Amino acid sequence: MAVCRFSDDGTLVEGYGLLTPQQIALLSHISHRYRRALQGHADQTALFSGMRGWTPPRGFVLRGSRQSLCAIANVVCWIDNADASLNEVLTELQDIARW
Amino acid sequence: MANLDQLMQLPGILAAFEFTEGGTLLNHRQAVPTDIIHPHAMTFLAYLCAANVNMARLQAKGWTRLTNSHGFEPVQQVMVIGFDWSVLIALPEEAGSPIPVSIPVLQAVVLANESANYQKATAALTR
Repeated sequence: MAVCRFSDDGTLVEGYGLLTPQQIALLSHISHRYRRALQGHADQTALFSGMRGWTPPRGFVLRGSRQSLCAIANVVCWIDNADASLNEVLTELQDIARW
Repeated sequence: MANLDQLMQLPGILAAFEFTEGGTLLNHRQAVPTDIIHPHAMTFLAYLCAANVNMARLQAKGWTRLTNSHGFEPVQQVMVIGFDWSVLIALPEEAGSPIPVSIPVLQAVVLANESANYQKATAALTR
């Protein structure tokens, strides 16, 4: 439904889909901040648990009743659960994030 | 919802656990040696999951308000994708109720990213 790439400060780099330009820009900022919070959580979990393999975190998935947000690195997409395979979406995001 | 022993049968699952919305670890199973996942690591993972569930709820509510799109709430699953491992969290239907009849128990599984089948795991954890 929408996909965008953001820079390391959350600024929108490029975005496409069913959102308005303002909403796409917001999506990039929100995802950037979520990712930063996630980084802190992963760092602390690794530090306190001694378990390797959590940090640096790659991304997140937020799955609602019908729609989801999926993010890997600096790329985030908004998907319809019924139309998208999570495996395919995450694989594609991994590839796109490397560009 | 599937029980922990059933979840452990899924391909690529390293561990499965149950916890409260406050992050208290209730039960857990693990398929890997304790030098990879020590039992005390599960305690911290439960808190990581609880924190991320509420972050996800914040995002879902905010995003619903901003876009007027009604597919994000209620949040049903959250996944934290780490470098080598991911943890997929499932929320029961009663989670987030202002006055729950019983204490909601959340389930989570730890997957190795290299061999994970996220789609199967989300299906198994779907209420």
